[in-house]
Amino acid sequence: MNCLTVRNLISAYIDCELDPEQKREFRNHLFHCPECNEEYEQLMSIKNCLENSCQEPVDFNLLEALYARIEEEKLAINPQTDGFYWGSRILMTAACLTAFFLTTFMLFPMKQKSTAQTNLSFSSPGIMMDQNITIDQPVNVYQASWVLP
Amino acid sequence: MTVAQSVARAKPISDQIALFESMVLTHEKALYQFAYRLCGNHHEAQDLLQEGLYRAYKSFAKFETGTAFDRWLYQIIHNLYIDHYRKRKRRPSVTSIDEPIQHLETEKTVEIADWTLNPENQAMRSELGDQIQRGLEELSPEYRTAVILCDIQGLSYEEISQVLNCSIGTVRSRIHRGRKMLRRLLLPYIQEKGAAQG
Repeated sequence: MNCLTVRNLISAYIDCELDPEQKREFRNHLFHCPECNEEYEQLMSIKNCLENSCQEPVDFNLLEALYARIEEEKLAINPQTDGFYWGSRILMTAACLTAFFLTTFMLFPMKQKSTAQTNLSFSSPGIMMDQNITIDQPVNVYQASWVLP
Repeated sequence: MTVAQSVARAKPISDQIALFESMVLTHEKALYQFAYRLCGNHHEAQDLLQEGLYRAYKSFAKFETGTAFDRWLYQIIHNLYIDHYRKRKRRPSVTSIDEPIQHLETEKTVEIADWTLNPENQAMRSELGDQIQRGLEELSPEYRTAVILCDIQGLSYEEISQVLNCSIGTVRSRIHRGRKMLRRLLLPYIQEKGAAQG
């Protein structure tokens, strides 16, 4: 093992995560290399420092906090299940549809009337349906169809 | 009877809830230490723990019987913390100083212990603990979690890899790099203390 390999394995050695063969080689290297040994000592002191750090006092009831959170969730207004939310949506849709149909009926009757008048004037110009029509002069079929209602 | 066997046997909902509560109480201190070391202050740690427990409670039915309960909770808490950390990084909170704060009618007043302004408590807190916390806060969340789980919670590399959902090699490198960063921050303090004592 060279210094680079050993320095990368220091933490694994400290945490007893090396296999026996690696451990043996690691110890041999540390015995002969003061630089690596110093680094090992330093990282070991960091680990000891963290392990011996004082435990923070627990002034907090976990279960109480959990049930408070569950209650909070129950009380929260869910828009998906709220009746007013869906009612207002349905009303909005109905209003939109009504406005659409009203606009359509306002526009279409005007066009239908004008079409009907054009057809009437085209089929019998100036002749009412209950009038008696007499044709004095000979006319062909096309002229008759033009005059007759 | 192991925890896995207990979960498998506890079929009715009341039994499941009782089992969940007992397991939470068993790991109460360890969970709090983990959350506190991650967040760095008691308020955030309590919020994180509350939300983590709530998520665990909701998905307790999905808890795999072969896994350890504490590791499962560590995983939930870690994931929550990472999500929160990323969101906070993306969207820094902005508060208007002109507009008054609006209070909701349903808002409840909860008394929270003030950990920052109590001088006696401040004085009693270990100096070393503060120094360690400052050092941990300098690390990125991934390194911090790996170091906390290994050195404070005492988990093995394999267990940490399950919690963090990564390979053992990644865990090893995160712990090693984390310790080296902490060495830079803590070693002068440790040496100074050692010299004063010696």
